[in-house]
Amino acid sequence: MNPTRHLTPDEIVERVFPADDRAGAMPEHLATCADCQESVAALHDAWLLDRGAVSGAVDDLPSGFWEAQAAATMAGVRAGAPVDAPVPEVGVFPSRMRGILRHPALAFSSLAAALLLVGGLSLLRSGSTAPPVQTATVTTSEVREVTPAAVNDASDDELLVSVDRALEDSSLAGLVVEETL
Amino acid sequence: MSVDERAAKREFESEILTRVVAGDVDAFEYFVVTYQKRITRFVYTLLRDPADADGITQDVFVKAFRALPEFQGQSAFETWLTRIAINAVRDHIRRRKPVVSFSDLRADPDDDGPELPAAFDPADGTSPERDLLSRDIRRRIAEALVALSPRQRAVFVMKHYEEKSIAEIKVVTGLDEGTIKSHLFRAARKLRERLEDLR
Repeated sequence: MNPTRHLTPDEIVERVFPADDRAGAMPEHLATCADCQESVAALHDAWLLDRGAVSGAVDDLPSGFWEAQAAATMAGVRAGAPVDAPVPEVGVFPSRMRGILRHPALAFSSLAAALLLVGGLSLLRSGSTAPPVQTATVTTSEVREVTPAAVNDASDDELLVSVDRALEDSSLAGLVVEETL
Repeated sequence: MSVDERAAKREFESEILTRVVAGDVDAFEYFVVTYQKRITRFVYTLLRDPADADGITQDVFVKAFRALPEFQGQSAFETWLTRIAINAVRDHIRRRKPVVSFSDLRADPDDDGPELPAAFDPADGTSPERDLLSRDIRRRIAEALVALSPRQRAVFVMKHYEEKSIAEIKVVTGLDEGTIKSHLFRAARKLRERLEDLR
């Protein structure tokens, strides 16, 4: 560095905020230039004041503040789930419905196709002596054991389980099931 | 703290963690009481907002408690907690995009920067001119800090406000040394831009 040239703003900042654990060697010019020393000192002092101010603002808070913060934090902790319990999956929609939300066009076209199949098969079989197609009346108790959390999901599941059952009865259903998957 | 003291502390904390994970929720209070001041100071230095610092600190401990089963114990609990704090601050910054830019704030001659308790008024009383200059530089440092990206800000604060070494920052952030230095360099450059007319 030219010993007669003043420090650039970058060099001044680098003196105070080195990007390494150790500051670089002091430029020769800085040792003799009062203006540059003043610039570095001003930034250094301001930084120390700033650091002291933010630390002091926290460190000197009264003990009552920390007690209140600890109490509020522990209240939040206790309100949370037990640590060894599995974290419940949070969502407005039951898991089966989420698939519909991800691929609505595919899911609804499959549903429409399934309903058409069921309707068509019912018409074809209506004149024959074969036993009627097992359709759709499925109670929630048949689906699974009902828990309070599952009650809201039950009606959605009823529809989907009914469609599944109807599809299982149809020899053509495999195509639709494949598409849905 | 010596190496032995650090090892003893880590073992002690490991025992408490085992108790917490086994269901002794109250034992977690040890970590809250031990680290709340440090986390609050860190978050406050990053955000410069006392209310945010308080709220986010509480949030950090609740998140840590919930994530305890995932804590492998490969780093010190404090390091892990700091990592959660950095992520919480980052999420907070992303959620709260500034409505007013800092360049607008800088243009306001009456703005003395973030509010601080009177006891920490940066004026050192040596001379009105020097007090004014200190205030101005402090304000610009704070503005520059808040204008940094969350990661740059965290790295800069750990290095220059918490006086952590590059190696310590590496452990907390998981970033390599070159990236940390790059963040520090860029942060210093942004600071310089704020202080362009200093001399």
